Amino acid sequence: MAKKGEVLLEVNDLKMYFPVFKGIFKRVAGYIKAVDGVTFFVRKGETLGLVGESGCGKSTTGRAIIRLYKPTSGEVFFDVPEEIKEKIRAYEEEGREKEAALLRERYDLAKMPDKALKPYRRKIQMIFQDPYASLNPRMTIGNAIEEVLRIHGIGDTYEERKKKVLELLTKVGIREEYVNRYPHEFSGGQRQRIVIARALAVNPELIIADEAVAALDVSIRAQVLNLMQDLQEEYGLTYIFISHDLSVVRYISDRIAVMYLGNMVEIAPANSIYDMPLHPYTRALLSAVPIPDPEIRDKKKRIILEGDVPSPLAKPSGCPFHPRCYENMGVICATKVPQLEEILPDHWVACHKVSKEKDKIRKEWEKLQREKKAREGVSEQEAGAKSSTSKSKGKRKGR
Amino acid sequence: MVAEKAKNEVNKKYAHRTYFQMVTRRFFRNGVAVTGFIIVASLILVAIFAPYIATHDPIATNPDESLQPPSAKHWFGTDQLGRDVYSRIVYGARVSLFVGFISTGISVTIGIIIGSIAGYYGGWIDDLISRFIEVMMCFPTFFLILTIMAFFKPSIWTVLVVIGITSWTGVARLIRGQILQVKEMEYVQAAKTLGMSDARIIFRHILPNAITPVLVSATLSIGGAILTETSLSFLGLGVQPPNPSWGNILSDGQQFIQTAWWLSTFPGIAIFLAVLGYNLMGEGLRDALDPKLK
Repeated sequence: MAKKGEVLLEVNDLKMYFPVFKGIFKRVAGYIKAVDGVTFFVRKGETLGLVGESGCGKSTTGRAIIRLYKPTSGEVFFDVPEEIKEKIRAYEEEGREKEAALLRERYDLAKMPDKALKPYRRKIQMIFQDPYASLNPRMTIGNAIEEVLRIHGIGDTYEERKKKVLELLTKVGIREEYVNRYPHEFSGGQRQRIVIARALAVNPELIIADEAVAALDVSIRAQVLNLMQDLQEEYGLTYIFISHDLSVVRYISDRIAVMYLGNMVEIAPANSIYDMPLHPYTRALLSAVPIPDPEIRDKKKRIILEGDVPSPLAKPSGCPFHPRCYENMGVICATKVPQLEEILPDHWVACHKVSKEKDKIRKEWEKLQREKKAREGVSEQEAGAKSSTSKSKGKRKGR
Repeated sequence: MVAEKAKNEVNKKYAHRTYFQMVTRRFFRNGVAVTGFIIVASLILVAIFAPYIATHDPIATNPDESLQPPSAKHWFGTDQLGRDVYSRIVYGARVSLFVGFISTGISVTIGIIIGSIAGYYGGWIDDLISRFIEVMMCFPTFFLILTIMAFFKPSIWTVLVVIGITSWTGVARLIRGQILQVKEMEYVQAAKTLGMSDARIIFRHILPNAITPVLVSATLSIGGAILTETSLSFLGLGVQPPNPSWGNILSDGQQFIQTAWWLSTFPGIAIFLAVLGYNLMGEGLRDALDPKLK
């Protein structure tokens, strides 16, 4: 098992194409490139926020990782030691395809046959968007959770499993007496807690939360997010948090990945991406986040993109963002797909313009860091004088 | 001792009311459903205990007493051959219920199997089955039954088999649509991500949520099957005389409708009650099976 801080999940060049059929003979007319070469990794114990607008492939990425879909190509390694990954790559370079394929069937989630997936079903769990649809309406919540324990052989007797169910419910803040109730008797927030309890039942290492709080009220949303953070602390969980809500993602994520039209455009630590968004798309996206303070709001310039997101059926050549990009550099952007490059420490961006100007950006970043440090130094002195005030944000994370 | 206590503690919190108990409870609290249930239950009792309830032999003719109006001896009067109409209706209940249950059983079984295959597997299998169902539905069922009946010796068995194999299309379409809908629900996907087997997903998560409308339509179609049998017997293609069935009693009665009203009225009331009973029960069942209604 991976230790905290080590890479838990590694996704390389993941592609998920859906064929589009046409006519009575079901001729394949083209492919929807929902996910088109996504590469990222998640460290044990962290939360990776996956953001992007509707239809950019963030949910599909999650579903392909958990194998609700079989990926078209690419590799997904979950808790695989580096030696084995290297061995597979070495075999492939040497042309020993057969041996490599055999190893992949054992270790690569993207290539694994369905039957071999069961142990991973325990380790990776998913929480869906709609809490009203993710519980079977004809099963009491107690039975729904007990069923999961039973099929995974957790708890030897029915009594033991029932006890475990009650524990899980208490853990997520559902009263034990509600164990025999049906899903429709609960509110959305409660249901999402029940779904979380069901996911926790198998002791997962990674939880993919697909818009888990999007359907909830703002006040309930915060409660569920806090619950998820507390559980993360307690069980050392790793989250992939898929959302279109940037404020939610900022609140919960350690690192943030931004997707556009099936591609990863920027991936960086949360602070880094909010302090200094680099990709033109990320910048536009962040400029659209509503700011409650009118003074700050009026100072900030809103970047408005022109046109619509192109259809994933007919993706633009080169950089997928170039037809709408306000930093378009012409030929290179229209012909060459930009690759992720580490511009700042742990801050990866896929943009030709950013790559070209990386020296300038790095200098700016250093300046920003120095200023920030200076500011923090001052505020720390102030805080020391007033004897420990507002540390609330740090407290929340540190709990 | 302590462990025992803890166990009781856990069990108490679980104090169960199973799904079945809940459904029966809701069913019997519903006046409409109970009315339907009482009608159907008494019909079933009548059919089972026909020999004890009937006052006369239903087949024995008695020319001396032909076309008698209702009296203390012949409660529902007699027909043109002097047979006791009350006894014939009592025995006719057997035929009607038999046809209703068995032919609905046949059609629902075929319908669920074919519809589930189409819905769950989708793709070309679904296309093939759906087109076949559409072709089947193009034929007016009743004339299809008449045509098929023309090839076989009319008897109660041919009637129920033919009704069964001609009326599964509705059920099949119903369950196909339901499964298509339930299959995409997030709890089914959640079940997949939780590592459940296909069989468990189909039987525990998809079918229970897809089957309610089918159960309801099955109860309703028992009424329909009884009517079809009656129509066939009326036309002389169903149960053959002298064996009684509500349809052929009615058919006999039509020639005397102006002189002997009891010959057509009583079997008519029996048919009406039976169909009403099943329909009421079907509606009650639909409400009781919906977990969202308390």
